Amino acid sequence: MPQNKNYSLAKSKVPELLSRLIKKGDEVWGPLAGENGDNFLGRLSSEKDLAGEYVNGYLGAKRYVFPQNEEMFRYRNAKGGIELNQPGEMPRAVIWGLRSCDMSAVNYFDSFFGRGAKSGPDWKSGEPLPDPLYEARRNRAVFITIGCNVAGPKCFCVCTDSGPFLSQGYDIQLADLGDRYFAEVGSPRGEEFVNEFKDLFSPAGNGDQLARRALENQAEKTFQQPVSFFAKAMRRMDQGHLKPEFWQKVADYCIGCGGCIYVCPMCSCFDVDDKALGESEGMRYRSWDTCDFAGFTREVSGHNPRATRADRRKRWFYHKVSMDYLEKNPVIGCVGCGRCVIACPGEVDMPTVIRWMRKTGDQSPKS
Amino acid sequence: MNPNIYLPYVSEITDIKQETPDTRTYDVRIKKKDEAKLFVSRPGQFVECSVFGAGEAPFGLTTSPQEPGVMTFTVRACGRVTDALALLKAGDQIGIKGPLGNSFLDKIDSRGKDILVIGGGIGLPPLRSMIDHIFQHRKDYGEFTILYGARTPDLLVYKYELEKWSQRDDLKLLQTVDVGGPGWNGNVGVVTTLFPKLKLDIPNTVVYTCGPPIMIKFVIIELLKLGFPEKQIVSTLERYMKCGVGKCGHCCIGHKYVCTEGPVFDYTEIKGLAEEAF
Repeated sequence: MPQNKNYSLAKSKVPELLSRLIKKGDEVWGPLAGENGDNFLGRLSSEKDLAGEYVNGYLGAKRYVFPQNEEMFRYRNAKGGIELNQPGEMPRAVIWGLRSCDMSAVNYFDSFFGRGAKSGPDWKSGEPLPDPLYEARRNRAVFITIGCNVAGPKCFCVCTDSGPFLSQGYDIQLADLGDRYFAEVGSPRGEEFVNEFKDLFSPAGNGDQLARRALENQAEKTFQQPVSFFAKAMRRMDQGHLKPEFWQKVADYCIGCGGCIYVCPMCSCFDVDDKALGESEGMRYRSWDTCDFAGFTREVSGHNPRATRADRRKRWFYHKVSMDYLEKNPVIGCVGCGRCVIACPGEVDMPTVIRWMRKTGDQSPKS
Repeated sequence: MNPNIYLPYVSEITDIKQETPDTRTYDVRIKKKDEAKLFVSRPGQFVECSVFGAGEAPFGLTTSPQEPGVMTFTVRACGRVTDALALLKAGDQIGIKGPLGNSFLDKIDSRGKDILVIGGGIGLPPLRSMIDHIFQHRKDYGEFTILYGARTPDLLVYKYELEKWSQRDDLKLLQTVDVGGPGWNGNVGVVTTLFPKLKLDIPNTVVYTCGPPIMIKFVIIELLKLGFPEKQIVSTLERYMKCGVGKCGHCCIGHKYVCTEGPVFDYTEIKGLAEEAF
């Protein structure tokens, strides 16, 4: 495929585009306007639901690729014994207006849950297998992202290499040029999408690519959250500088609400449970879970390997920014979306703790 | 389309043995022939067992059957799924995902070496799959010793096997209980109190252990004191587990998934973990 095919899409055509998709039966997801100025990614029932100006909603693409509650299969006690039924096929989904950080998180999910998963389970085929629920959602989706012209007040994606614009990993990336979007195609699926709506997309104008590049340069100057210490923080963690007192301090500010984990676009731990749907049938489903809750690791005997909040806070940051996990995953566990900064009532969010980590090593070299 | 890793095989309980007042051993067979032939377990592996409506829970396999599609596990009723399982009878249907995890055989090759198995309480069942394997290939292994302890004599499982094992001349079996009782003439004390009774060729012995975390912790401390090489100390690790296939995140110890990278680890792996394993 030729690299980086570029198109132009007039903003005035967007309502028509979305409306045609919805009429066709596609699931269309995009930033929804909530109450009191809150935005979140959700399913649009009409093109009119789309939020106007926004940087990023409280919940990103995780709501689509990894829903808070998701059916895994249904069971039924039939005459011949137990019958199991898997969820059926779903229509195409178009994810509209996703920000670069959230797309980066989806690309990380690909490596963990789906395409190319390295540490996959192998009990059926002998080969690592993708998570079938994630894979199905991923494979039916077209991701149309939008670069950020101005960083949000809590954003720090420049420090995590996940924005404000992307160079790959999207199907189509839009850049806001005022009256029109400059649209870069990043995958065969993106190309197909443009071809399907040829009447709405036109070839990109001369100079639009330069204008998009200028936007990215400009956007990089608008970050207000200085967090460029990930590498140092990781060294501090791996070299054992972060003693129990450090994690106790983090825990002292943490109220254990799990908010950071729920809003984190890269957190993917889940609980599994059964739910009755009648006398002889029910479903197995999964739902978001968080390592911040004591019950996450508490065993039936009452023994809990992570009994204290300090243990659990350490766990979260270790999973996100340790060399051990970086060797397993292609990226660190943070895309700099800033949601934990907004969500945390105790102000012990990722950037704050990264700053503490960096300073801690300097102050206490004692081992 | 890929197989759904979360979808269990529908299976039937073929036999149940009562081990202790709250512990039973289940023989299980996968119903469909094409699914059954995919199920070939190795010692140390486990399954996720579904009692539909109650959920699923991981159980270590306790035998090394030569026939695919059949398995045995021993379960103490102590939680939601295990309580529901305790109400079932032979002929009832459950779901099985597996075999999951790695095997004792994936660690140091212990053929030609002496074997020391140390089990505590309900930790003997997973070890029994390895014991089974050793009996099946008895000539490949040297001296064979099993130490088994439980809190009280009532809580010793596999009494029928223990009886048979104690009569074998190619195996030395020593038992102990923390608190004795009527009819108990054996050793009283934790399992490490049996160590002085052994004559071990330490450089040539591989240890397999499984039991409550506190037992494993002290067993390893004692083994290291005796000078056992770290690679020759092989233990299972345990964590609260949900999916069993490396996705849900519950069973992580440091960056290791107990479900897919374990449950069997040697001490070189255990000591390198970012969190305490026991």
